[in-house]
Amino acid sequence: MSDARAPDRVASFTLLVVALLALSWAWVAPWWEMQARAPQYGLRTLIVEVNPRGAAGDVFEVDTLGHYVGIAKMENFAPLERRLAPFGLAAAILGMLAAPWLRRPWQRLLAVLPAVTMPVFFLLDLDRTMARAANDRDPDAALNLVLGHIDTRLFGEYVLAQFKVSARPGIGLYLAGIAALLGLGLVFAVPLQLGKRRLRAEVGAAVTAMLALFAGGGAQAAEVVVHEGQSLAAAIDAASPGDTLSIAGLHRERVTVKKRLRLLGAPGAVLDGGGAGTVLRIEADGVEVDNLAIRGSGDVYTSEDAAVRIEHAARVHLRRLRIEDALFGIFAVQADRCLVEGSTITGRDVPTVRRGDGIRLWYSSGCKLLGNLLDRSRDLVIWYSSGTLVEDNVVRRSRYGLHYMFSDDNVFRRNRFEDDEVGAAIMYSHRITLEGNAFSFATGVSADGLLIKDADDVFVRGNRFVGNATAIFLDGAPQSRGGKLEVRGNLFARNDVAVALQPSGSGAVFWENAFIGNHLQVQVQGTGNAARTQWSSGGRGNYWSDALVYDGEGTGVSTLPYRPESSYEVLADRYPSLAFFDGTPSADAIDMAARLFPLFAHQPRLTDAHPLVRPPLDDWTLNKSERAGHLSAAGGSIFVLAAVLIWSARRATS
Amino acid sequence: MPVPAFRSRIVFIGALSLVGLLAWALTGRAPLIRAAQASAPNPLEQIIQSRGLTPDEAAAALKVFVPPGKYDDFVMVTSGGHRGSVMLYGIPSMRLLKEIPVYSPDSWQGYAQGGTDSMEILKKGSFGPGMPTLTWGDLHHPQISMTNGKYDGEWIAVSDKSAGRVGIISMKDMRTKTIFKTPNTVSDHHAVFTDDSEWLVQSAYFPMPFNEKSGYAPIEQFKEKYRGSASFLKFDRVQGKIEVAKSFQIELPPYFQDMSILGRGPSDGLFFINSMDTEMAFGGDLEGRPPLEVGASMHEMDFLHVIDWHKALAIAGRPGMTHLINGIRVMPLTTAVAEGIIYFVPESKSPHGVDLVPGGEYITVSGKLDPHVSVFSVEKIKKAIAEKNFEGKDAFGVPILKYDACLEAHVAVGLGPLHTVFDDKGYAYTSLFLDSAVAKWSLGGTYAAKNKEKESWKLVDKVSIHYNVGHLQAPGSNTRHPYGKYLVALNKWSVDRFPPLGPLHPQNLQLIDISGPKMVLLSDTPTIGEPHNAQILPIELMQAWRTYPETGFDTTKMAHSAWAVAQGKERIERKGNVVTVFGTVMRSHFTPDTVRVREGDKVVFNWTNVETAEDATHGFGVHGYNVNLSIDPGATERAEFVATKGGVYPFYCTEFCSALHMEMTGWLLVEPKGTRLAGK
Repeated sequence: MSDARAPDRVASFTLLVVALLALSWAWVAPWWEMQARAPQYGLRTLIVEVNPRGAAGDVFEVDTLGHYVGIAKMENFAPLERRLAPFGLAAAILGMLAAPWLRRPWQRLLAVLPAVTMPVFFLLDLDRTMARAANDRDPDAALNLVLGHIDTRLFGEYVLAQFKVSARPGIGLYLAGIAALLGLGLVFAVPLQLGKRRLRAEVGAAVTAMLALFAGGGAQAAEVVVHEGQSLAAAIDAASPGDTLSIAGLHRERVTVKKRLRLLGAPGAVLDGGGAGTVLRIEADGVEVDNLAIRGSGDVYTSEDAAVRIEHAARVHLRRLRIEDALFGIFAVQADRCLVEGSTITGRDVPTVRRGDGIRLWYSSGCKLLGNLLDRSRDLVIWYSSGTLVEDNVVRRSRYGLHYMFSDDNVFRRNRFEDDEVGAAIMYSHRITLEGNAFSFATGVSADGLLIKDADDVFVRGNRFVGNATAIFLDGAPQSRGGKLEVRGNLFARNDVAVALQPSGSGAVFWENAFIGNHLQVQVQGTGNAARTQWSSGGRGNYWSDALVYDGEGTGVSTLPYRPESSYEVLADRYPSLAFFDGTPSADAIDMAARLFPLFAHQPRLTDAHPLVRPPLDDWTLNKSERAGHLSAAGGSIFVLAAVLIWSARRATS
Repeated sequence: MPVPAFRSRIVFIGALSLVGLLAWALTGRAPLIRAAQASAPNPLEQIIQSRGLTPDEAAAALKVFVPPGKYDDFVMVTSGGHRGSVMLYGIPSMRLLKEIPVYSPDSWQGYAQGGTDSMEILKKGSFGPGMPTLTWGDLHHPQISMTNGKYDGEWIAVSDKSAGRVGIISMKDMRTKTIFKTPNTVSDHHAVFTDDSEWLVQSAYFPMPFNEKSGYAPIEQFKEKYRGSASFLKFDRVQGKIEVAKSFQIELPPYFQDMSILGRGPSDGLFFINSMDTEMAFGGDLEGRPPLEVGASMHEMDFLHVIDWHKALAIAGRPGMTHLINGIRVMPLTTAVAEGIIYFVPESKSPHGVDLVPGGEYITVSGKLDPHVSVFSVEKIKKAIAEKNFEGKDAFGVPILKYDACLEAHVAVGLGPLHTVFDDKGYAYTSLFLDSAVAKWSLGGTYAAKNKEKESWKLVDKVSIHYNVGHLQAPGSNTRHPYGKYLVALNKWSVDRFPPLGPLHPQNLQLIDISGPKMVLLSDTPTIGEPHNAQILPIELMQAWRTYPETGFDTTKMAHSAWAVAQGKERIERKGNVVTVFGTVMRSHFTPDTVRVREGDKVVFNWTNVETAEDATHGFGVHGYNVNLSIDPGATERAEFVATKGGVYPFYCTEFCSALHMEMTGWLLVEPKGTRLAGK
């Protein structure tokens, strides 16, 4: 090693280190960013960040919007590329590491090739994927016709339906570009040489550094254990953003978290507010709380005493909390993209009217409520909060299983609303999907399993409504021209009234539902009939347990229309005490008598021209398309595996 | 083995039912079978059948029909909303009896349609210099004056949400007498009379920059500079006027002070207002803040204001207690807090109604997002105040009474409860906006003896409403002695209830019979304007004059008019370029019927209707000018305008009056400049 060449080596080494740093950073940074604004999102800008590993940000919202025009979900885009991305990046880093040691320029070029080509490949692939995804749309989508060919752009601004879209390269792309240029520089730089020992040390150091980098900066984050008797508030004060506080034992205090911390409860960890005020306040983005029991809030409505209050903080994640003895459970105010998962919230044993809400989401978009149990709470409230995903929750013995207003683009799947005064009330909202939920035993004074008022584009599919005073009550839904309300494939059983309608309602479609043993299948409030509601679609109506069916051609669809107009129903409407006779010979006798000697005109309340012969009850939980997806995925993998086996067998034999 | 058990139950019930049916048939009590036995339907049944009515509908028809020449049992005084008028409907027929213009001109009644005095009413009732004369208002809640807590049928006071005004109608002639612009406030959603109508109390609704000379403060200083208020206006019930000098206001925090009630009996001397937006959100949806309605519905609770206004009245005269702001005495909020005049009771978020049971013992409040009515006890509120049982203070130091300490009951009624009214049998009725229904529930306390229900504070019945009910009203509900019998739901939407009438739908008044244990819907009635609220008084209190009590009556001052002229003394006077006509009208001529002026002259018409026959009203419409007067029997009405352009302008009687009505005309001859008057 002559001194004259030392600066060159330093240069090479610097090139290498900077390139590696850039690549590593690029690993976590977004490479491409799309911002979209639309009137229905008000001031909110939807942001999607794309990295070779996948997409992040408002993916759920964009997916939901895409769904209406038939664009597939983002998670389905470029699966191969995303799977290969880690290997590509690893290859780039390894190549970069190796390059300076190689003697010949072409070897070095070969080594840095992955790093150089990756950003180019990313852009080309993104462009192609986007163009394909935007135009290869599902022809059966609800709003497929509103769009023609979509001219996607890699960068710049364009208008897509009512969206103003702006796309630009992300920091990751710049970093990858820098790394690529530096890699090219390495090709023409002076190669490095090391003795064996030195080499070993260098490689060791490099590997350590790489490991540290790959840990995602985790090495700087401290983990502090806060034992019983130690002050959690003091620990929070002392912690730095990114730290984890492991909480052990019982802590009687009320704390406020104003920096990005992770609070992790050891088994049996309890935070007890001592019966006053709010126990845990979260006022910083990205706070995580996991596996903690929280109890002992105050009991004052005016100060909204809660177990947890999130205010002006985004991406707060609450997992496996056990909340009890609190007025409000989780009170989220302007808490965008929050997550509440696997938590149990049990209200106080007082009348519903004196409890607080189990969860209240207020003006918080893009949140997820997954697999929680709300027992004996007041309401689950979602107001002014769009893009919420509510899955696998149970709300029992509460007032409103769901009190939902002015919130669009929300999805409810597989939730159970049981023994509530009102199962779910969905009002003043658009684009709501309810799939596979169960609404049972709503028996309060306005005991609707599901109330839908002044809402459009509501899809009620595959839900179960059992034992409610009124299973579903429609008032002003759909309300707008072109607004949809589809009720399909649901089970309505043993309700006092299965469907209650206001005579003003029009445009709702009920088909392939099973109405079994309800006291009144359909009730029209006040005078009028349900003629403005559609009771079949595509020649398939509903199964009515009280219908007289005849299926001469074996199609499963009766050729006799279902037209309930029995005097008994009319009388039972007027005199609920008569409901005692439901299904008994005396009810039939009243019907018969009224038919023979009509006192007044019959008023048919609805006509289902194509009633089903059998209840379409094969599967209530698994969506058909989902099942088809699983099947094709399984089939595909078997096919690929077989192909690989055959190929390797042939190679081995040849 | 469940199946056999199930079957045997069916068989058992079936057998039982058949036996029952047979017994019915044999005793002739089963209506269906009895009908079958009748050989020929009677004429009533024929009508019912030919009109396709159900028995319920036929019964409703009989209940609402008022035969020709007979009167209804009650009269409902209904607001016309942003039509700016009041409507009178008969109950149970729901016939529209009259519309009374207040804030907007009405050419039929000659109100603010060129008439000198009514134009002056509108001008005085406007914001003043720099602002236009208002020709519209948003009339929300009419109040009938009371004596000893019962309607007396003398005055109707009406609020104006759009301008912070109070209009006063005399029930002697059903005409507007005055419009009072309340200082320091731009809105009056609701104003209430005391039990003897000596005071009219109004709450502010929109918080406004308070005591700012320019009337302006940036919205960002909402909390610091904006304030609400309660106005205690002294009502001169002889003159029908507001006496500003005796009136006063109390400054309140910048919350939206909305509906209100005045106490009586145990709550006498207290004034209750419910509020919203105690979050003090002020919107800014394009400026990065949440929209107003989002910000204003964040908190769990708003505050029921409890104001000891008798105490405020007692000390208002002492030095330093009030300041004069824009001509009215104002008690600062700090003084009201320090003197123990104002307290808050937590109430469910965004309430619509606050109502008082007839005896004044309980207050009902319903947050529209809470499916309960909260019943607060006045006794408990007073006790909590005395014991200083507070759960905190608001940002302005107003003590917040402990919620549980004030609460008497929670009544589960249904979704979206708004307003509550009361009958004479110990029941309350609450409108349910989200359910589109009215709930009937039993009162407790001393009212339990009246309703004899097993359970107090309990829902007993519900009836479906079409659609989106807002207020509801029952006769005398806000008085000491409600009359019961009927209920009117004032529904915001009618959707399909009437034939297609274009995109703007009338609203729907639904009449409900509440005389029995179950509520029965009787009829739908389309409206003119938007009836927000109403009051219903018995027909006996409708004691309006059939004609004016003397000939030459000034209908605004309610006294003999200085401009009246006796028959035979009609004349035309000219002073400079002002031509004044003193004329009379009677069937079927104007005296004089010829009026000659020069282009540019100011013409003043004073017409006296010298007839005393009931209903012999004459109109005075002038071609080409915005003038039409209604000159009712005995009245003297005036109109003045400048004859701007030469020409011949006939005038005529616009109200059909007699066989020679078509001949009841005259001429306004306007000689163009530069020509000599002919015929002189």
